[in-house]
This record gives sequence, structure tokens and C-alpha cells, in this order.
Amino acid sequence: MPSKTLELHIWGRESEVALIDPESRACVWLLFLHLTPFNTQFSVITSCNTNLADTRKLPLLVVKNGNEIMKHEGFYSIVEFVSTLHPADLKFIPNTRMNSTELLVNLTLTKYIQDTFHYINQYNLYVNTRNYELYTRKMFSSLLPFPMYYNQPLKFHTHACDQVKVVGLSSSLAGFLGLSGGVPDTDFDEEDESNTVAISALHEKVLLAKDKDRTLLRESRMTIRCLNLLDGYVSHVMALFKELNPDSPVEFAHLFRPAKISASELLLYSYIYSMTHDVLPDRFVWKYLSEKFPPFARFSATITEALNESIVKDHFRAARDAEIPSLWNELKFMAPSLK
Amino acid sequence: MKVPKPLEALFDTFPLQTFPVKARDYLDSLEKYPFLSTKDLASSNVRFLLAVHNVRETELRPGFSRFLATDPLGLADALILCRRHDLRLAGGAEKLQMVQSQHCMVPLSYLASPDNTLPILVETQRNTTKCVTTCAKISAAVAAKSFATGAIDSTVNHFLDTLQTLWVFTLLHEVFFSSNEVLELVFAASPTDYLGTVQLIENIQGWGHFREKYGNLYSDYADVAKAPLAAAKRLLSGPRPTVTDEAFKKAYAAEIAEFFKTLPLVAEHIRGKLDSEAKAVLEIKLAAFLVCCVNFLPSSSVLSSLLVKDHLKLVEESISVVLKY
Repeated sequence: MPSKTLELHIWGRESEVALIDPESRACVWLLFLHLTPFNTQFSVITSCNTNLADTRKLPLLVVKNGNEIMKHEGFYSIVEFVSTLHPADLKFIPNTRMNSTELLVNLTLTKYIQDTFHYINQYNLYVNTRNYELYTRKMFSSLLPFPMYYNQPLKFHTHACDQVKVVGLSSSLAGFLGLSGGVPDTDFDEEDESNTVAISALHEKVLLAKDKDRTLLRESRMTIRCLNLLDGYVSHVMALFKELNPDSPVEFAHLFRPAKISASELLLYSYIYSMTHDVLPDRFVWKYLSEKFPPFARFSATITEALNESIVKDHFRAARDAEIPSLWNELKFMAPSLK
Repeated sequence: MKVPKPLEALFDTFPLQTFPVKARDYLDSLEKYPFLSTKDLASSNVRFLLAVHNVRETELRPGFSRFLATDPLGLADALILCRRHDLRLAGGAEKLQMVQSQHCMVPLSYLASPDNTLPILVETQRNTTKCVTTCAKISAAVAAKSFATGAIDSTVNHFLDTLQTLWVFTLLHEVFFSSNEVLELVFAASPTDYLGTVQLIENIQGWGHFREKYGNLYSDYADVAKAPLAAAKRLLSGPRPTVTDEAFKKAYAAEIAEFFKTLPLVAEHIRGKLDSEAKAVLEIKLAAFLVCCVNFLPSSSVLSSLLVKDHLKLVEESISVVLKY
């Protein structure tokens, strides 16, 4: 009987998982945590090629069983597959080993994280100018081959700008009569000055400086709004911990069982890791979390460190042939008749 | 200057007359479904209108019918309002002794809403509009009022709110891969109004932030490049902008699988709770979604057929919840 081979396609480079996709990192942690003790072979491919997945989104787990190929796409499907593959709980609590309340919290919290922390992460990486220009945009050149790294960051940036509007983090003015959006901008002088024509070189300089100031002001206002949202989300997770463990002496720890981690927690820490990593030029999220929620920040730092240590580089391999997101492969994907 | 005689004669033949301004109450022109009440509330001049996509008289059980909003969000908000203000839905022979209140449910075009989404709550005082609340704000207000404490309940409430995205996904799935029947059932869209339908489908994709959440399903070229003839034909025959087929079907299947895995857990959680405001709101939101799926989606749709096949007991419970109002 042919054995199963498991291949996880993620965003990353060589043996490093990219910060831009927390779901990829959560899946990598999950495989190393739960499959290594059972000696199940798997490989992690840092392909960065979204065309491999039917839903055009990574992470993607390809399970080959002889000629049969199964694709599990997205965090939920991968967790379900891994949970049924090895239903025993060692360090990871599979969905199959949870009681109904635990499973309910695990599933709904996963959805909650994807609907809340996801947008904060998008804001932090793509909409925050310093992080986007000094880190995220540059990183794509190491993830994708020439010339694919020109278009992709722009596409992701536009998509992120659209996405952050869901939680009211957009730099554009609020909608019709300010009814649909969040707090409307209060820069009344903005419109008058934007139409002003420079009458001399000196005046032009002054106008440019003013424009820069305004952009900075708008961005810091957005950052404050972002931190306000993050405050609510983290408080919610901490309240969840208190409700699940009313007798716990500590303020924050594992949600369900001591020393064991669930799928929703993996995803949560992965998002926190992406938002607070020290390579980011603007670490406002890290500063806020470490000052406002020290137990939460400390615990998530310890956990992410342990999870990162469990990653073994031998399991990683580079993309090959059709897996590479090259221009030729993209053309073949667009027009299959080229094959 | 003197007006020439023939022209003067002509103007005199048609004397100028000014008609008095006729005051017209815009509320009178709307089709209204008043909420019922046991008390006579007519003395108050504050009233609210809940504007929804469409209202249908539905026989939930033999002999028990109600006028229901045809989308889950509208129905849930109507039921929550009923609970808060001690009102009942219109319809049903057993309610003959009740009086009509001044509050009502009104079918309205989504284009009338500030952000193109319904339901909206319009509060009026002496026929002057005082406040318009959009559906996102209604949800936020309900969450703030009923789930200030109880983190698990709040997470479950968030899950039930995200069902709006699943509803939009289902509507689009039906339109793209089955027929436009669902639009007639839910929005009373006329099959002959081609441009109206195109605009509706375009707008549906913005509801529940569908387009932002599933941006990966939209592709600029994949469909056209793979099958240019089929893509061109579809553009001519019906509105299908840029969603890729395979990706759409697979993502929908994954969403449905996740929903049916979570559904019994949510129902069990609600059943196990003690009577409270939070329980009632969760119960109403779940019941509204299930009742709308079973009654207003075509019976061939995946969601409706699986609910009837595997979760009939839950559907019956949901009907009982709606019939309380």
C-alpha cells in the first residue's frame, strides 16, 4: 500500500515562514507540533504560489496517496485533516478530542480571530506607511522571482486597504453624511488648501511640508483607532480565558488545558507574532501590548519562542518546476494551451 | 414694450392658475406591515420603521402564519425589536384580539439606505425623521447591550453575525450556478428587470463585506483566458463579473462544512443557557437564519436541503422561537 505524502505550501523563503501570512505560520507550527511525535513524514514548501490552490490562497496542504491527490485549503480544512489523521492529544488538542464547549469556543474563536486580528495585521503590514515601505514591499522581492515581485505587493496592498475598511480603518472620508463609516475626518481646512496653487518656490516648499504634516497626523489618528480596536480584541480573549478558567491564579495562560494548545490559540499567537516581530520598523503594536497587557504579551512571547524552536529546517524544501511562481508558470496558468 | 394683440389674446385664452401645494405624507405611500401589540400605544407620536428587503406571509405551521422579512438580518432585527418593545409580528389568526401599533416593518429598496444595505431602522417623531440607523450599527448596539459580559456568548454572537456573509455567499452561489429564482424569493426581483437584477447582484457582493473577505476569489483574467468563448457567452447571457467558478465552489463548500460543524454546538450552547437577554438574542439570531434558509431559499439549494435533511429538529425549534412573536 503506498504511503501518504504530505506537502504544505506556504508563504516564505528557504526555511523561513513569511510574516505576511500568519495562517501559513500557524499551519507550520501545527504540523511540527502534532505530526513529528507520530513520525509522520511531511515537507513544507515555501512556494509562495497561490495558483497551486483552487481558492487562490495559501496555506495549502497537498496529500498524495498513490495517484490520488487531495487538496486541503485554508486553516480550518488543514486543522480538520490533521485532527482526524492523529486523534490523540499530546501537545496539540485535536478538534476530535474536545468536549462540546471547548470545540464551540475553538471554532468560533478561530472565526473571531480571522475577522478581527486579521485586519489589524493587514493594517500593520500594508497600510502603515513605514512598515509597508521599509519592510513589506521590500520583502516581496525575496519571496517572488523577477518580474513577479512588481505586481504582487501592489495587489496585496490594494486588497489590504479595502479590507481594513471592514473595521473602519481607512484613510478615506466617511460615506454619505458620515452615516456609513466611522468617525468622519475633521480637517475642515483640508479641501481649501489642497486646491491652492504655489505662487513661489518657497511657498511650494511650505505647502509640501504642510501636506506631509497632514499625512502624518492622519496616520497617527488611524494608528490610535487601530490600537483602540486591538485593545478590545485582546481584552475579549483575556475575558474568554477568565471565563473558561475561573479558578486560575494567573491572568493569562493556555485557554483549554495546561501545557496543551488548540488550533485557535495557534492562530492567535501566529497573528501576535506577525504583528509584533522585531524586524518591523514601526512596532507600535508590540509597545502597546507589552505596556497594556504584560501577562498576555509575556505568555504569547514564551509560546511563540517554544513553537519556533520546534521547527526543524530539514523538513523545508524549495519550490520546483511548476510550483515556482515564475512568469512562465503564470502564463501557463492563464492559458493552459501553452503546455 | 407692448405685447402684440394676437399673443395677448392667446395668453388670455389659457389663464394662468396656481395650484395649492398638496401636503403628502411619504409614509402613506409605503406598503406597511404594522407590529401588533396588546396595549394601545397610538397616543405616542414617536414611532419606528424597520426597512427590510421584502416581506412575505409565510405559513410556518398549518394554521400559524406570520409576515416575515425574507432575509435573516431583517428577520432577526424585527424579532429583537418585538422582544424589546413587547410587540408581535403581523399575521396569524390567533392575534385577532391584538391592536396594531404605530411601529411597522416596511419593504424598501436597498438603494434607499445610506450604505446600500438593509435593514435600516428609521425613527420618526410627528412624521419627521429623527434618526436612521444602519444595519452595522444595529448589530453593534445589540452586541453592546446584550453581550457586555460573557465572553463565550459574545464570541458565539460574533459567529452568528458572520452568518450574514454565508447568506450572501449562498445567494451568489444560487445565482451563479443555479438560477435567479432566489432573487425573486428573497427580493421579489422581477425576472424581466434585467438591469435592476445586474445592479442587485453587483450590490449583494458588497454586503457583509463579502468582496473584501473573499478577495482571493476575484480574478481579473483567469476565467476569460481559460475559456474565452464561455466567458463571453456568460457576460452576454447574465451578470457574472469576475468570480472564478472553481474557486468559488470550493470556498463555498468549505464554508458550508464549517457551518454545519459549528451549528449543533451553537444550538446546544444556547439550549443549555439559563433564561436571559443574551440567550434570547442568540436564539433569535439563529432561528432567523434557519427559518429564512428553509423558507426563502429554493428547496434545491445546499443549505436548505441539508438543514431539512439533517437538522429538522433544530428547524422546528427555530420555528417555535419565531412563532412566539
